[in-house]
Amino acid sequence: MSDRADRPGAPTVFHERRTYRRRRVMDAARVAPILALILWTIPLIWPQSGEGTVSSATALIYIFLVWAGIILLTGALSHLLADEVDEPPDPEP
Amino acid sequence: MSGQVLLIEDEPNIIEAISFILSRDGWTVKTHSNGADAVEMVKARKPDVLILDVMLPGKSGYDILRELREDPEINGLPVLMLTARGQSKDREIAERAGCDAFMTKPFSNADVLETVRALAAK
Amino acid sequence: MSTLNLLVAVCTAYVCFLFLVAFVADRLAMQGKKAWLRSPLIYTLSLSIYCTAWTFYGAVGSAARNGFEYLTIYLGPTIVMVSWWWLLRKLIRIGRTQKITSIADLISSRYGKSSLLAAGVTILAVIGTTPYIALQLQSVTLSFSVFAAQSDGLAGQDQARVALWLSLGLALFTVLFGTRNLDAKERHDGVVMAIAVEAVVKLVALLSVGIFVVWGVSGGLTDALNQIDASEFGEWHTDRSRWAGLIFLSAAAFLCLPRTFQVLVVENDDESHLRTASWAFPLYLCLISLFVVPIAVVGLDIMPEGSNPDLFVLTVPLALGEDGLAMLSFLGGFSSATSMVIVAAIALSTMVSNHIVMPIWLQLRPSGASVSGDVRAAVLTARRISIVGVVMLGYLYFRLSSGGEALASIGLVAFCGLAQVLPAMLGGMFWRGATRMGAFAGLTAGFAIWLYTLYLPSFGVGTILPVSIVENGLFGMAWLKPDALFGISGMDQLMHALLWSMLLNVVAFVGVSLVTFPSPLERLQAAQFVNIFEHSTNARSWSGGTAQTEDLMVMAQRILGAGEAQALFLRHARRQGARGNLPAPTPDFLEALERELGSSVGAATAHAMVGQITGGMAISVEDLMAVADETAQMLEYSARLKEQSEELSRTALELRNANQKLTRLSIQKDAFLSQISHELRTPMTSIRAFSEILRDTDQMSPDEQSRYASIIHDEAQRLTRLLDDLLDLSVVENGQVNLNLRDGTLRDALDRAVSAAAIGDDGVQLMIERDTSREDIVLHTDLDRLSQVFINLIANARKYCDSKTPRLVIRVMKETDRVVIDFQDNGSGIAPDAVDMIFEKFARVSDQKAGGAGLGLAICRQVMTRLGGSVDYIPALRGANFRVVLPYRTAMAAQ
Repeated sequence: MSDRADRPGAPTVFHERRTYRRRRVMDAARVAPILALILWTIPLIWPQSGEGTVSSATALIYIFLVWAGIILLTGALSHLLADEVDEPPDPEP
Repeated sequence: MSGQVLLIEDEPNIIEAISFILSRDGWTVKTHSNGADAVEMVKARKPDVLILDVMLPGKSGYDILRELREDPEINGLPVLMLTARGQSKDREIAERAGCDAFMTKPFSNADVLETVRALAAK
Repeated sequence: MSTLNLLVAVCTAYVCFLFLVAFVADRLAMQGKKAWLRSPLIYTLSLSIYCTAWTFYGAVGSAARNGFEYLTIYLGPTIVMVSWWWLLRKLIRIGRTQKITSIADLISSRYGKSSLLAAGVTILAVIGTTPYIALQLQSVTLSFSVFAAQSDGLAGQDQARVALWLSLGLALFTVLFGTRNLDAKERHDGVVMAIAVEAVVKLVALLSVGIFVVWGVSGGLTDALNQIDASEFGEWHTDRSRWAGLIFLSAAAFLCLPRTFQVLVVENDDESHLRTASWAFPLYLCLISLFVVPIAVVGLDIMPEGSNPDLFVLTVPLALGEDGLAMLSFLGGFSSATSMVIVAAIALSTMVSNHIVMPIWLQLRPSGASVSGDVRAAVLTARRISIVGVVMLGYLYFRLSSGGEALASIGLVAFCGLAQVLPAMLGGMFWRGATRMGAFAGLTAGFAIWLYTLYLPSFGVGTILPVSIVENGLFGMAWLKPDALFGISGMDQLMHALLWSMLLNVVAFVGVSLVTFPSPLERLQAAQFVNIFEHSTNARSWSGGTAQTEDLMVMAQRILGAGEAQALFLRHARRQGARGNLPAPTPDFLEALERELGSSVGAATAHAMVGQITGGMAISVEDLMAVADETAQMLEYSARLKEQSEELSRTALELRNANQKLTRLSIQKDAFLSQISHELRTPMTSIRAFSEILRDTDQMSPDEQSRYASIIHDEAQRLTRLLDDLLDLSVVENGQVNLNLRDGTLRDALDRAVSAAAIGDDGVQLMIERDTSREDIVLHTDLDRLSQVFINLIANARKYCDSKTPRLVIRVMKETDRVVIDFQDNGSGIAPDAVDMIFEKFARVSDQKAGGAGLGLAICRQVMTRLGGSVDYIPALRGANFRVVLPYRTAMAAQ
């Protein structure tokens, strides 16, 4: 992976900043599935009976909203990670 | 006029044409179509005039001529060179090799006849 | 027309349409129009192979029975796709660089190319997938009987017949489009395209039913949601362990199922497609599961008590009189079932033929691969038989299980079985310490527990497992009861099996890996897999030297096909800077060759085959350590320096060669001008001399006259010919020539050339050997120009072949993408130093007079270039050997 910032001598301040941004985007891409997993295991702590149970429609809406959010997030990240080798022209969101 | 002409040439049609022209004029024409043993042939035939093509199988006409000129036995033989390569440097090479006359193909029959007569009269 | 007949008609039309799609896609791919065939969109759609009939119909059924649990089946794969950056990207990169053909091949490659592991995973896959195929057949027959029930009913034997015809059709389709190419990396464009189309049909069908139900029946989104709350669903009740367990299970299955692995990794054409699929496939899954609950709720509401909820997608529209919608829904289910069977059959047949049939076949032939028969044909046959076998196994399972309830639950059972591959797979990708013994132990433990606690009980108590074992445990030991291992009871059967099989699998895998020591080859592969992104250069594993390149060539030709093998060897010969066509058997070359072969017959088999020829599996420790060692970076740097200096000296050599060639050409050019002058003046001399003779000579005999006139005539013709040649060359060379493309057979073109050129002006007859039966190839090309090339080659053989009995053999070979025509004579051939000059236009092979001006071959080459082919001189054992190659594009009409 392109650890350009670690290369001696080469990077300018601007360059470093871009590389930094890019590496944080990679971090986000690695964390995204964990986020999805956590959000989708939240229903496990909903009460199963008695007071405060969640209605089916609400549960359904919650799961699909998470889904939509995850799709948008992954789409955005994959867009930002477009060129693995070449630096993206403008990595700033 | 009479006398013997040796024609060294590899193109059968040209051999036939020159033979025809010279025979008509009363020459005895002997022909040979290989360069490799041409010098021996000349020595054996002892012609009055030699007509020599440049591009021959086996040995080029220039080389044959050089050998003839170096051979005291026949170095006075009049030689007419014919070539189909019409560049000026060909004429130079031929003259340096020691030819008496030089003609570029295609030639006029009358010129050939005249040149052979002139060479024989030398 | 009854509903059933209409259904059969629609079905048949749809199947024909799929055949057409696959056929057209294959054709386009063959013509090189791959760009849109292999777009990210198609890749994403092909991933939907994960959604089978079981999810198409079963999701609604599952929702009706177990509430929201069905969602987990889609959430797992979504999470996997979202993990593309650190997981799938690596998997696909490994798949591409190691030329992986299947999941079994992946495991085998990683763990030292072990044939045993490959066979084990293959058996696991076959056992896990067969019931799944049966499930697809069942879903189609069930949906048939739903329609039949409307008209005249469907008897049991009719159901069997539907299933049988369906299996036969699917096997035919798969054999036709799945085994066109041997090389798994050449990919199945037709199949993938058909799958993508089916994916769209599935989605559209389910969405249509969903939209109809929500807006047509329930009366809008809000009403639908209210209806859900009012229904049996009521509040959120979901078994917690199953919710978490099933998310894990479906994620694992998405990675490990042979069919998803096939489309995800093997059929992947471009890593960047993954970027699109990472969000687009979750979107697909989201859409396909969006309306499941509303459909289930409406189904439970309006359908009579006791109707099968698995068929609500079909029965709800039917009950509401929406026959068209029901038909669309039927096609959706049909698509899901057929696409699953097709891809599963391709994936399984690759595994079975590469890891079970081929190793046995090789073992049975002690003489070895290099001398035995045609391996390529054997592999293709093995693969075709495996496809038919796999599909028929599914059919048999369907008949034997008689479509009972047992089948319905088999989907998750199969998931659980294949998930056993996951520890070995992920461990292999991320942990260098994972060993073959560890993988073997883990797989065996997981597989055994799965078999004992889940698979065998799934047939029903007392069917295979005796009642005594279920009640009292194995050998009467209570802690070995299949539903309560170690005395932990009260768990859901699936979760119980999943927990114990995965737990013991991982424990055995890690434990045994820690205590065993890997073989050198394993360590090498481990480094390559785990550090795939750093190691873009390949490791050396073969210490060649004793290998016979010719033997390797013979073997490679049998597996890859003659053309491709030669191209591969030539490429490597050039890269090594070798002068001939055969590269030296360097470790690099052997490694590359093994990969190429591996993509056809699997890594383990390829390794064994190359090993057989190179004389042992010996790997030099130094080579291994160069990659495996932690100081690999240092070595890599020096290797790069060495590579650069090699590159430099290669370039210098090339320059020197080019310079020499230029010098020779310049000399040749002067000579040519002189030659042209000579060639023009000689006939002119005769013409002038004889015309003067005719003009000036009196009293010539008529014989003489006509003789001299005909000499003039002949010489004039000779001049014309020469000028024609010169003009022809300049026209062809400047690309001004108009090709007159039409259809004709190669045989005709050759016939024409032979009759024109076999007998020279001097009457010398050239003996020509042909096999006319192989020449019946219809070409679409400029046949006159092609004949001109043939005439030139034949005439050359006649003029220059110095054998006492000149003979020319014309050999025609049809390959996948080209037609090759060899012209080989029995003379002494062309001197090596003249070979690279003969196609230059100022060149003549020898000084001897041959009536031409050295333009023939130059014209031939220009013509062949214009026709999209080539003509080359191929050094042969004896004689001059010219090879004409026509691309398949021009030859395709022949099919």
